[in-house]
Amino acid sequence: MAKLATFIVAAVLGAALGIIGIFATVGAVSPSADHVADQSVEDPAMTVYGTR
Amino acid sequence: MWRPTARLAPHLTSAAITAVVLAPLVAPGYVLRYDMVFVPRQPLSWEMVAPADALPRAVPLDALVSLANLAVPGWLLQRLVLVATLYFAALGMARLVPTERTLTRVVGALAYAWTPFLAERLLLGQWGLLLAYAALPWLVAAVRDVRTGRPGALGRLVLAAAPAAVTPTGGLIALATVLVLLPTKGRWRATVLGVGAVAALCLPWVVAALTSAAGGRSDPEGVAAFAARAENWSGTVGALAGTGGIWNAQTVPGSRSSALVPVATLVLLAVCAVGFGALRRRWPDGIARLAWLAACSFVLALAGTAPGAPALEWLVTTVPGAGLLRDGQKFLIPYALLVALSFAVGAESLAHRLAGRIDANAGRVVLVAAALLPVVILPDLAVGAAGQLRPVRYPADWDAVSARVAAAPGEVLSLPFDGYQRYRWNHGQVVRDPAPRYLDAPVLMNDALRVGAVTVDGENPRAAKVQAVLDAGQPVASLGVRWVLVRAEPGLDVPATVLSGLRPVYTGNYLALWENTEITAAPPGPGRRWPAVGAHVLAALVVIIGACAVLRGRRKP
Repeated sequence: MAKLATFIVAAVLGAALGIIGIFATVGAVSPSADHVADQSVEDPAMTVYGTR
Repeated sequence: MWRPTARLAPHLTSAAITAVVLAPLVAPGYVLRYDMVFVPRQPLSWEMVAPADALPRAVPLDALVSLANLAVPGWLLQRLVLVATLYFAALGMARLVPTERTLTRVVGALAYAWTPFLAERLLLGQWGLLLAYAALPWLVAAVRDVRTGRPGALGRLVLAAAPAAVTPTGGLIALATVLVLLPTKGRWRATVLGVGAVAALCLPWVVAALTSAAGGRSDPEGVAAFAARAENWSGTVGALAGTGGIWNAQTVPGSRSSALVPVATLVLLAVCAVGFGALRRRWPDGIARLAWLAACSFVLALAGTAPGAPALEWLVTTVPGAGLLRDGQKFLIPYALLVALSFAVGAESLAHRLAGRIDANAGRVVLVAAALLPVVILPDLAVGAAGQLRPVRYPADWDAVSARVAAAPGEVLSLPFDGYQRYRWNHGQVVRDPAPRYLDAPVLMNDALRVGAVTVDGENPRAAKVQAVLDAGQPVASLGVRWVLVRAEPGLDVPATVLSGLRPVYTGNYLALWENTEITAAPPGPGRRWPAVGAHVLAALVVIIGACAVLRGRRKP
């Protein structure tokens, strides 16, 4: 019984971490529109310290 | 009893975190991003000790780099510093967590060394600030030991505060930490000595600021430009609660925009709430003060946003030096420490409860999940923040120009007149102009900062004068500089009128050097910098005395 309960705990936590991880990775590899807009206007003559 | 696992696990975890984050640094070259500029050999100049016309934002950090460069080449020094920062941040937290359980220490190490704060400041190149981040767990542990009267603790406090105090922000955080956590009834002598020692470590940048010709008041537009910002639907408060929220959108890992990040942050804070209760029992005389310090750091991080912005704008325009508070998110370090500490203890409490209800393995599963949570929330910190920390080589032009300037020292003006540049050879990555560190001469640079469409004015009166001359299209020869360094890249043409009266002495693929033959005088000597030199010597003496105290404490049985 204890083993089954441990398995369920592991499965639930693993699934939660997996879902969060997948969402975070998708966010990491698919930059937001803001990031894309920043890169599209990149100009070596125009140096900015940063954008908000 | 010798427990190799318990002893080695924190070290192995710290080493693993460091290796995974800094993996791209095995490639040769220099990682050049924003404020992170290392060069092959940085000369030690008076400007490093006390800038004549600029605020001492990197005092005594730059002087220490120059001294270290005498023994270690720049590429190796950069790797040593970054590796030490990540390693000691993780190890310091692993040792600070009040627990007997090894896995809890691992949770603490990951919760502190795998954070949005660390990722964002690393991508902004603020490795000096990250030294303070790495030092804080050690400083808090040393303060705890001073309060309990452990031998050598005061020396350890000084040695832990020293890396933090190499920048003004880190110095303020270290001083605030000691002021809040250290005062103890019956130990007033140790309190005064501890606070005095950390204050002495801050003297180099304090004295340098007092002797600089730069105005101490700052442009109020910087308050909005450098205020903390939202990274996802949870807003600015949500971003800061997860230790993110840096002002610069270009240095935020992509995963921070994920819709589930706020949910994961809520889970993390819920576990912290559980852990905070347990921490109060384990560290009854210190945790309330640490919580107070963390709360203050959170309020400071929020200060630049509404409704605190008008008050901060008034402060930076009225009080000299208050401009340091504009980028408030950088003060979040004590909050990040409390979150990591209470998260580790909270995870242990939950694991203990579950182990009691089910079995010990269920408890271990909870701790392993807690250890993985920071990594899962922020997967793109791995491998140099998903490849953003890429070493590059300096073009040979830099050595050629450096040799010519060294042969006839004199002030250098770097054009285009922007403190931050975007070089082709650096993959177009924004980085601070390397000229002041590469050339063995004072370099006149623009300290105004462009944030999007806004230009935040600097404090250097000479830089403002140069900008006026450039805006009028007048020759820069009239400014009295000996050399003019110009980027020779397509699209960066400097008007001929600006360079009139100068003689070209070098033209490469990336840089050109022009000489003002009418100026032959060498750059000025120390002048009014002697007080700053004295402050540096005093700080060095404090560190030496601290090291001796640690050695003496170890010899005692």
